[in-house]
Amino acid sequence: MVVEGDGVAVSVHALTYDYHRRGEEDVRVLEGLDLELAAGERLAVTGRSGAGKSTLLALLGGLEQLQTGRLQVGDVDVAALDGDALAAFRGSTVGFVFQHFGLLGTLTAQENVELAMAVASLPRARRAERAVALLEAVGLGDRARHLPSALSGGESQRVAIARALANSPRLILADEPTGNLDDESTHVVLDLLASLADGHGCTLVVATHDETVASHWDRRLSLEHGALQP
Amino acid sequence: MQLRSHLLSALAVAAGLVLGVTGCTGSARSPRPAHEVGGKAELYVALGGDDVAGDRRRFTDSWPQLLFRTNLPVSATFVNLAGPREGAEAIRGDQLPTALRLRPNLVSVTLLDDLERGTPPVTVRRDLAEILRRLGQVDGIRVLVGTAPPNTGSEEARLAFNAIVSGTVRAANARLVNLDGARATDPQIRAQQIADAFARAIRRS
Amino acid sequence: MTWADAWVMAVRGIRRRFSRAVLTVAAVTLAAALLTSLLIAVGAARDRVFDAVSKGGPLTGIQVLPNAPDFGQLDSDSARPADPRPIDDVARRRIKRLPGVRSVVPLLSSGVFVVPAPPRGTDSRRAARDRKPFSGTLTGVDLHRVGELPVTVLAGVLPAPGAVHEVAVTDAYLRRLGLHTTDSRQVLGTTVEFGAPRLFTKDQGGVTVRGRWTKATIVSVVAAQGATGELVGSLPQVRAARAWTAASDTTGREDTDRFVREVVGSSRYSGLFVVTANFDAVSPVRAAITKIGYSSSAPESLIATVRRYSTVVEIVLTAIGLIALTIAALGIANAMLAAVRERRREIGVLKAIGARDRDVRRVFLLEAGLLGVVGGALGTTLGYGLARLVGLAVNNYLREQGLAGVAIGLPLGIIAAGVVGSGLLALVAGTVPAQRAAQLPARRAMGDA
Repeated sequence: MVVEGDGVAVSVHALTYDYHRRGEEDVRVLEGLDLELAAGERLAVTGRSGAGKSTLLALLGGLEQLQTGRLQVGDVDVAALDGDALAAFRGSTVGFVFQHFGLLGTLTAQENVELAMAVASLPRARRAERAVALLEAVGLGDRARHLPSALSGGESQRVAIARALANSPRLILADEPTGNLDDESTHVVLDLLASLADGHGCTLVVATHDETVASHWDRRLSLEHGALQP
Repeated sequence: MQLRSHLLSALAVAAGLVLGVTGCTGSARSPRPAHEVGGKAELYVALGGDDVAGDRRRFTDSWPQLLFRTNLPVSATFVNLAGPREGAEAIRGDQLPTALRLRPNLVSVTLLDDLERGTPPVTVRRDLAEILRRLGQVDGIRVLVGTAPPNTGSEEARLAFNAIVSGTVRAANARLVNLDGARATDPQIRAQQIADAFARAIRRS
Repeated sequence: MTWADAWVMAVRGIRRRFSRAVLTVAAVTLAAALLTSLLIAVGAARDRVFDAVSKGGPLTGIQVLPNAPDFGQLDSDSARPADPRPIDDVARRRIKRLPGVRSVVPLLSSGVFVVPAPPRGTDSRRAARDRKPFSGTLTGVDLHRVGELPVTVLAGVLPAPGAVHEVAVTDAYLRRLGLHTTDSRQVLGTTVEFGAPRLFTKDQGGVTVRGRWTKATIVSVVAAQGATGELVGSLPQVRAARAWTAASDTTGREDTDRFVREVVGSSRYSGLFVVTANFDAVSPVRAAITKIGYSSSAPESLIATVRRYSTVVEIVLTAIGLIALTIAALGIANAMLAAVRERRREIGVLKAIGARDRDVRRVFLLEAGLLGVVGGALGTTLGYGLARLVGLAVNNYLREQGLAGVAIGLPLGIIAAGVVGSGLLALVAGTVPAQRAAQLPARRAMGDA
């Protein structure tokens, strides 16, 4: 088994977030947002572009510091973390999948996967073996030595998923994971995400503006006016 | 530098005082490869009068100096003991004691001043015999005695004088160098001819 | 993230933007080359100047004359000789024992008549004129210790130690023949005659001079400082000449006595060349020699002045080089800032997968340092090569002028400093971009929104 461990429960309460832009008025993106996710639950967050889906994911994954409100991921009070502790939280608990894949162009598929483990200071010897296993799990065992430029969009996103799983995260956050993919790749990626989440009990949050994608998951919430609506 | 100029000026003054060696005149003499004769380091002593001492103004172009320059090896040392107008008697009295102290292995003797001065033959024979006898006592020495070359006094007197010299040389353990071939009237060329004749004699000895 | 992982990231980063890296490295290379070649050139020039000042001898050399010191001797680099004062073995030993003295080389000289050989390639008409004898000086030195003496070889090789039929000649000899130091090669291999004079007193009271002549092959032309005349040979050569002259029969005549004294001197040694342990010892040793009672010369204040000026020149040239290097460092900073700008999302991704600020900083600092070290290594190598090339050209010119060339050594210190310095400067230049990268919000991983 490549991915071990269980999903994690997420509890969000009264989350409010304002965007500061120099010389402009603050824009409130989230306002008093509440969310409860059970461990292993899979949620699709929909909403129009600019509704705050990415911001919500950034806050959930510790990419962004909380302004007001509470965020509990498992037994971790994320609002209390900053600096290295927040980085450690991102590295160990969260796995990100981005719309643009976020692969480093200078590294091969395998090295991209290994990079996440390098950041977590996993011993070098164990990285390669695990990276290969992860790539095989996403069906790209034969593409390990390819640079991202030699991979299709779907393949790139599968490498990104493998990387997201590298450090056995308990929460996977996918921001428009199929936004840059054709239909066929979209299905492959969504199935992959579903099966991995299914198989290993990761809690999964997928942000998408695409209703088809959203319909893939058992729970759907829509982000409107800064809060989640059923 | 201080010391050098000091020495130089002292030497120049002294040379002017004692020797008068200033303003040597140049004359044609082509540089020639050294025909070195005799392989080992040698000390060559020249005994004689004006012809050996050389012109005061170009004493470094006397025939023994030319012999040393062009025919003796670079390791050779040359001491010129000749004095102006010195004949066999002066050689025996003044030059010979110094020469013997130096223990040379090559000595040249010419007596042209005696011929020019008309020294009585009996005196010349006696002094030359004594000179050759005492030089002959030095180990490993080669003594060369030159005859009077042409154009030295009257031809008649020269031949008579040469007969005396050759007779004396034959009686001693020395070698006669016949200088009849040194006919040039130019003193420089003549000096070279004499030097060459001596060089040939050394090579044969 | 370990240093090794950061290193791999840095190398990959450089490889990704290879042409920009090449340009950045080229700027550092040129700047480091400029700095290195300037430093090597100024070092070689300084050595050459010191060499010229000390006439090829050690910088710490002191010339001791067989004279008492004049008043004010210590204030002057030049000798201020008063009355003659013989240098004997007692004096030599006293000077040798002075603190700070490393070696004492005796010099011996004698006045000789010199019959020069015509220079090679002269026609017969000139040959006779070139044979014009002159009164000169033969200086003898221990040829085993010639390295401790102020003697620079301009052409040929020094006489072999123990060779009594080889001599070196100085430019004074060349001048006698109407030659310039550029014509040095013309006298090499020719044979010079020199005769030591000796006075003989006749029964009638007249005095005559008789020479003891020797020949020697000229094997080198040298520039020599101090009590050296036209000819420089071995001690045995001079001893033989002095012995011949000293045996003169002077019979108490004042003029003949003075002649002998002035040809060979009344001193056991014509001079001493004292080498001190270091430059700072020159002054006290000279003071002690003055106290012992001898006049001396040493280019100490000249060398001190040259040192001061060369330090100023070094500082100015180093500053020029450093300015160039700083400009190159700004180039590194600029390239790194551009890289940070382009890689904002990538940096965000790094952070998103758990990289700490210092991990990101490390990658960018390594990248900058690597550019600097590579540029520094290439630059110092190039600079060294340039200095060698310039040195060759300068040496050709100097040799044409009959002067000793400059020596361009392999200045490991400068090269090491160039590489390390470029690396450090690059690190400094990379600090701001690296800090900026480290402080980029992790949110950048999601794009610019």
